[in-house]
Amino acid sequence: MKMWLIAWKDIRHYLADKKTLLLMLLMPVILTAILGSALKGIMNGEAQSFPETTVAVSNEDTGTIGKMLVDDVLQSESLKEKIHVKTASSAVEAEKWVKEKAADVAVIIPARYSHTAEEGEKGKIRVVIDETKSTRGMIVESIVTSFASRVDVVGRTLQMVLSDIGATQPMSMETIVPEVMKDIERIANDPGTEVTGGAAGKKAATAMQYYAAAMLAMFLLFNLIQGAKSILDEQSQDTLPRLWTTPTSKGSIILGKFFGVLAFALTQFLIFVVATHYMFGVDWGNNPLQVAVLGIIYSFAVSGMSILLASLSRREQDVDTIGVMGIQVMAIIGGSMVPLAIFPDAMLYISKLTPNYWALNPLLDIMMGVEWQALLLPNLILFAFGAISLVVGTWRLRAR
Amino acid sequence: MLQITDLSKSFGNRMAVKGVSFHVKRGELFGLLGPNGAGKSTVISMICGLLQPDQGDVLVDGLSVQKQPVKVKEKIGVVPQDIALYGDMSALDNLLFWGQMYGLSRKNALKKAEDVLEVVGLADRKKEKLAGFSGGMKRRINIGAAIMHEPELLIMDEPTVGIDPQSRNHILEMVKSFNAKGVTVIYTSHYMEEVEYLCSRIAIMDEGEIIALGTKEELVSRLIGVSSMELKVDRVSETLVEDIKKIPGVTQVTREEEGLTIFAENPKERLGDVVLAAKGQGVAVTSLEVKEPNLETLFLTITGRKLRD
Ligand SMILES: Nc1ncnc2c1ncn2[C@@H]1O[C@H](COP(=O)(O)OP(=O)(O)OP(=O)(O)O)[C@@H](O)[C@H]1O
Ligand SMILES: [Mg+2]
Repeated sequence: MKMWLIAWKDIRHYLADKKTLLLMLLMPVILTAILGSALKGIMNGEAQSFPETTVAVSNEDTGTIGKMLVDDVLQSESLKEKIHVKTASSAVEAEKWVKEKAADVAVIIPARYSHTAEEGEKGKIRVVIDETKSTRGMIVESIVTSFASRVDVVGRTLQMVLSDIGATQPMSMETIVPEVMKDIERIANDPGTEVTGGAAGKKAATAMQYYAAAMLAMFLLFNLIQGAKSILDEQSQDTLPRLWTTPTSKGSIILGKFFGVLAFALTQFLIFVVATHYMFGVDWGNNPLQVAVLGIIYSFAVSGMSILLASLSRREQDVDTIGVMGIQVMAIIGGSMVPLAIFPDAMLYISKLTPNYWALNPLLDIMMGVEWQALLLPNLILFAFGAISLVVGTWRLRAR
Repeated sequence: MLQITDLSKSFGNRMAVKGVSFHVKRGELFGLLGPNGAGKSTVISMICGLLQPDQGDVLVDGLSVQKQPVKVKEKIGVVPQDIALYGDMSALDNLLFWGQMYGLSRKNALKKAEDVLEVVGLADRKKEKLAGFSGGMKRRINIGAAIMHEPELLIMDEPTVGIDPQSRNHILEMVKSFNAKGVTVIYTSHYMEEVEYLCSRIAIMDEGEIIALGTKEELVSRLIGVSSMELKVDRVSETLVEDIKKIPGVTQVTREEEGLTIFAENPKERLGDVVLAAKGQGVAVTSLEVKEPNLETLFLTITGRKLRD
C-alpha cells in the first residue's frame, strides 16, 4: 500500500542520516551512562550520620530550579532534620553570616539561574565555607554541585540536541563529541558523587534505572520535532504538493508520514532498552511485555503529536519555536531533568500534563514490579495523547 | 479530454485567475503562454486538484476533479514547475517511488523505470543520488517521474526553466515524441519560441485572463496587415513618439529601452517616413528592422507590454 511506501521511504531517510543516529540513538545511551553512574549519591537516600549544619541561603533566582535546590534538596525529608536553612537577603549578607559564624556554609544562587540552566548555559552557584567547619562545608558543597551538574548536563544536552535536530546544515561531530567528553570527565571527577544523603526518592529505583527511564522518555519526545520537520521539509521541497497530485488520499499520505515516525520511535525505544540493559546492566524489571506495550503506546503518542505539531506549523521555523520550547518545558516538568521525587506537589500536578511523565512513571513502576492493572491508566492516557493529536493533526493538514 | 469552464481563484484580495475557460482535445499539444505571474501555475494546480477553485469546473474525460479526484489524478501526469524529488534518493529510487505512488506494482515500476531512464537519457547514472545531479538532469528526472504511469494527459509547468540549451532541446524533443505516441500534453511556458515550436493550439494568458486562444495560424492571422518595425536610436523622446504616430498607417507605438516598436499596416513602405521623423528630431538611428508577426508581437499589440523583459 502507498501508505507503507511513504513510511518506508522515511525510515530509510532517518536511518541513513548520521546526525539522526548520533542524536537520537547514541546520545541517550551516553547520557544515561553519565547521569546514572555519576549521580548515584543523591539518589540513594541512605541515612548517614550527618553533622547539624546551618546553611545561609541567598536565592536571587526567580525560576523553579533555584527554589528546587533550597526546598527539595537542602530541605528534603532526609536532610531537613540536620540542615537548618537561614534565608539571607543578599549574597553579601550570606557571606557575612559565615564570617561571623552565624552560619556554617553559604549557598548563593545567582539571579536567572533557572533561566541559564534551561538555556544550557553555565550559571554558577557559589558555596562559601567556614574554614573551621570544612567537613560540613564540603558535604553541603558536594550536594549542591551534584545537583547543579545534573541540571547543567541535562540542560545543555537538551539544548544541543534541540538545536542540532533543528539545524538544516549537517552538524559537525568534531565539535560535539569533545563537548560531551568534557562533561563526562567533569562529572566523573565531581566529589559530589561520593556523598550520599540527598533527596530520598519515593521509589527505590537506582540512579541508573531512574535516568535510563528519564532519558528514554525525553529522547522519544524528539520525534515530535523530527516528524514534524519531515512533513514541512516535504512541503518546502515541493514533494508534498506532488504527493497530493498522485491518486492517493490525503489521509493515506499523512498516515504514511505518521507510520514513518512511529517506526523510528519504536526502533529508538528498542535499541535504547536493549543497549542499556546489556551495556550497563540496567534492570528493566521482570516483565518485558509490559515494557514493550508501554514502548509501543508511547511511540504512538509521540508520533501522533508530531503530526499535530506539523499541522500547527506553517514553516520549519515554526516547528523550532513551538517544538523546541514545548519539549524543553516537557523535559523539565515531566521529570527528565531532575527526579520527580524531589518535585513539590504542585509541580507534580503540572507534570501530569506531559506525555513523558506518563512514560517515565510507569517505566519506573515496571522496573520495581507492577500489576498490569496499574499500567492501564498511563497506557490509556498515552494512547489518548496520540490518538487525539493524530486525528486533529490529520484533520488540520487535510484542510490545508 | 479536458474542459475548463469559468475558473477563478483568489489569494487574499488578489485575483490570480479570472474566469478562465478553454478545452483541450485528445491527442493535442496545447500551449499555455504567459508572462511571470499570469496565473498559469494556478490554473494547473486547479486542474490537478491541488487547489480548490473559488468558482468554475474542471472536467477530465467528463470526470469532475472536485468530485472524483482520485479517478482523475490517475489519468494525469504532472511535471511541477519546481523540481519536486527526493535529493537523498537515487534517480532510480525516485522514479520507482513516484511510479508506485501512481499505482504501479514494484515489478512494473522497475520495468518502466528502465524505459523512462532511457527516454530522459540518464540510464547510466540511475544509481546516483539526485542531490549530485545538475539542474538540467534533475529537470529530466522531474519529467520522468510524471510519465512512469503512462498518463493520458501530461501537464508540464515550465519544464525548461533555467537550464542549458542542450537539456532544453532534449526536453522539447521528448515532449514531441510523447505527443506523437498519443499523449495529450498541456505545455506551459513564458518562452514564445518553445510554444510556437511545439504546440498546435495556444492560449495566451495575462493577469489571470486568457487574452487570445486558437491555433498558431489563427493567432498570427490576427496580425495580418499589422506588422511591426523595431527602431533603435541613440535617445528616445516623447516628441519623436508623437511624430511617428502621425505617420499615416502607423497604428501603435510602444517605447522600449533603446528604441521603439512601431506597428503599421504596411511597414516596408513606411521605413523612409520613420527615418525622416527621427532626423527631424535630431536623433541618430542605429538600426531599423521589419519584424515578421509572431506570438510576441501579438502579446505586445494586445497588452502593450513584452512577454518577457
Ligand atoms: N499560494 C499563493 N498565495 C498567494 N498568492 C499566490 C499564490 N500562488 C500564486 N499566487 C499569485 O497568483 C498570481 C499568479 O501566480 P502563478 O504562479 O499562477 O503565475 P505563473 O503564470 O505560473 O507565473 P510564473 O511564470 O512565474 O510561474 C501571482 O500574482 C502570484 O503572486
Ligand atoms: Mg508558474
